[in-house]
Amino acid sequence: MAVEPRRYDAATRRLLVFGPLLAALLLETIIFEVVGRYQGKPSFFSLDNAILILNQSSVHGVVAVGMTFVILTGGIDLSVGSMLAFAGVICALVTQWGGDPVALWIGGGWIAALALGATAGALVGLLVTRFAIPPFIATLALMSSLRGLGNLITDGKPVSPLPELYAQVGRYQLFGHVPVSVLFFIAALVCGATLLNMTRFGRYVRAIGGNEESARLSGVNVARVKLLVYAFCGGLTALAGLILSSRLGAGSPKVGVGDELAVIAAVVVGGTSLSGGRGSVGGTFVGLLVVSVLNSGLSWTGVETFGQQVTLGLVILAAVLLDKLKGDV
Amino acid sequence: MAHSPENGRIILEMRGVSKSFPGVKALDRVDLEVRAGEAHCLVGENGAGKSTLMKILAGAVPLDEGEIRIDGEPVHIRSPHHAQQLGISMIYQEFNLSPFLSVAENIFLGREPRYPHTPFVNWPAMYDQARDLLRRINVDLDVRRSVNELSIAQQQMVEIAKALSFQAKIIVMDEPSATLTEHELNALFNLIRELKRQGVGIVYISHRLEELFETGDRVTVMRDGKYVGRLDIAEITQRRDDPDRAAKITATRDAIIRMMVARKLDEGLFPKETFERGEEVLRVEGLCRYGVFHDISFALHKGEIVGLTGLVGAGRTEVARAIFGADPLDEGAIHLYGKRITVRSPQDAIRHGIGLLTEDRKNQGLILGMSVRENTTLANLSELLRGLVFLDKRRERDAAAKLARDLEIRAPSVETVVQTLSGGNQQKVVLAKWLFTRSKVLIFDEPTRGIDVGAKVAIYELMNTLVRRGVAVLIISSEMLEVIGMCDRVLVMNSGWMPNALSGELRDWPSHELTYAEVNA
Repeated sequence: MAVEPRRYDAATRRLLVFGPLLAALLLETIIFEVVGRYQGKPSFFSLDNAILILNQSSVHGVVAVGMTFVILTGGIDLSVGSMLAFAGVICALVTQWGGDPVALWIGGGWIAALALGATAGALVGLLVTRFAIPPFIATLALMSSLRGLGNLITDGKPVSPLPELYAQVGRYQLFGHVPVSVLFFIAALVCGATLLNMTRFGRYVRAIGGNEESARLSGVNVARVKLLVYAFCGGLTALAGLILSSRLGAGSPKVGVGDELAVIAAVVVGGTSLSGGRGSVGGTFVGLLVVSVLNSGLSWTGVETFGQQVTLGLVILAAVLLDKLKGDV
Repeated sequence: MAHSPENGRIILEMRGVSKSFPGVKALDRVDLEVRAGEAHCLVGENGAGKSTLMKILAGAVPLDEGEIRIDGEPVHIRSPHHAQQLGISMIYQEFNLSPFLSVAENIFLGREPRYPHTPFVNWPAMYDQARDLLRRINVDLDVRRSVNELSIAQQQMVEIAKALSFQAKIIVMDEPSATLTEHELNALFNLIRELKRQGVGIVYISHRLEELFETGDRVTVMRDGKYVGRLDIAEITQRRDDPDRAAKITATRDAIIRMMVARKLDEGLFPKETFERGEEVLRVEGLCRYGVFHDISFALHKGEIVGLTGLVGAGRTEVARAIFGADPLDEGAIHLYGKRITVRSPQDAIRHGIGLLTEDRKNQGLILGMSVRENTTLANLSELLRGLVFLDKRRERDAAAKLARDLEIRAPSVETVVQTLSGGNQQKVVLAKWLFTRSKVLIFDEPTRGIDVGAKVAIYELMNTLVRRGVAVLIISSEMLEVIGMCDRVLVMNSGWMPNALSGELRDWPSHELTYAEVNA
């Protein structure tokens, strides 16, 4: 017989989600600090390193905010990796094609890519709501098509050279310290959290994930909310792709392969349930940090990619097992 | 009927079985006894505890107290699998068949005959054995056919064959007749007679009391989780040529009904208040959804509670869902305060002030993982908007808290997740949701199913309050006493439209003229 899941009120739930995550973050930091010191390296726990880690996780972070919404409705978006690359390619092509004035055409490229991302997301939303295609399948199809399309229009090669200004946007540092990508990341987090917690739309998102039929019978326009959620995720993914492309100074059709899984992993580690209804933007943020600090720290202490992959797998498993042990939070 | 020497022996005894769920005593020292070759009918209203008793027998739910003996041996049924090994088979209303496997594969699922010492299925043997089983119950069916191509009645036969393949000594049939046609029903009765002849003990659960006299030997009546009594009807069942048979059936059936419902009406379970009938609030005309219901017309007025009843499957819920915009309507008009309205979705209905409390609270009424507050306000968040998009959380909390107080929702706070609440309190949360939308018309679909007696009275009292405030209330219910006790008028539906085909309208009764038997007739 199935055990009745335990249920907690919001405050307890927050504690149960964030407590272990923050503890894990602290533990990681201490371990890497101690091991690093032992190896004679400078301090791991420094402001510069913190900014570095935030910068490294900003692309995934922006996508993860959108992915959190999608997963909260009980859906999934596998197309984000391809969309990352495609958005960069589009922006780079528009910039190249337009020429002068450079600033104007780069701006136009950004707008075109963002619009495309949102539209592709809306298309997924339409397939999911109107034609009842499972999100897994709809976005799997988009993932493949977008990747192919990006490679087709660029002949598989990065779009470059590009004007210097193209790369300067992504490499700009506020006060000489804070990279612009981190600002975008923080902005996405704040917007996402506000949208989820303070607006009617956010309430509907969680209601649909909790029980779609009940939500529908309570007058929630399920189709519209879902469509907007996929469009939101597509738009944020395009934004992340633009940041990445700008940092690289090129529009590469090859980036972002497999990133959809890294993003989903961060969202899940952050306590968002794949069956929908439960989760938070804050959880996703901390989940992503746990993963990023781990990867960064392992590199720091000399563990290379293969070892990092194994460790990441174990962390995902541990996070989900912990979730089970806590009961249905 | 000539009993084989085997028959008549007691094969199943349940004594003093009790079971509690949080907040509800589902079973209180219930007894049940089944003999080999007997069809033992188990009757009682919804919520009387029949299902729980059968779940215990099937090993799906452990008992708190009591004893079960099979063939005189005390047993402790640990799991559904164990129940099967003990010779107990259940045939639920929802069949446990895998739709894309064949008849034979379904019968032997997990126990496929194999070639000795190999992992390979011995298909010829499997088909032969399946054919034998079907022949035993006189059913002619291609054992290679995929189950999804079969009619409901044929699928039921497959279930029964499957039960026999487990050497079942006791077969429980839960409302086996609910979805069958007249002709299929006769086939089922013949099958039951055949099983009885082979010494199988049958527990037969049905709401259609006339049916019991087709094959039944004894009847056990339950009420509110308690054993009420047992009647022997074998003589009426067997003597089909008795000139007084019809009269005897009526008399016995009425006796059973009295046992099922007794007291209740006199015990103040229904705190019905009568108000003056006011203006018309909702009127529907000629509602039709092809193949589901047909030409439904009625009106609801201020100050009254109207009941909509009839057998399960008659299309009552479907009518309510269509009025609420949850299902499409093919024909017909809906009027609110005399003005025609269009309802294409629940949003439309809610905007016009129509609310539906669904039969299935957990899956269609509530978001179980959300708090009392969030569930209460979900259908009318626009009320709480500050500016264009932001929710005013303080106003939300105050509004939810006020409703929780008014409805006496028993929860530690409005932040409590509704999953943890009892059935009665969950129903109150759903009601709070519709009060928050200021509904003018509320449709209750089986409002007190799965709710204990105390909470029922609370829900009924809330209905009075609603009516006093001018809300028009429609109650869909299979519990006749609820309908009689709480409603001013009653509409009876039968197989998609009213039984009184001449007038083209629902049969419309003042509730005090209605008896249980008339509705089930």
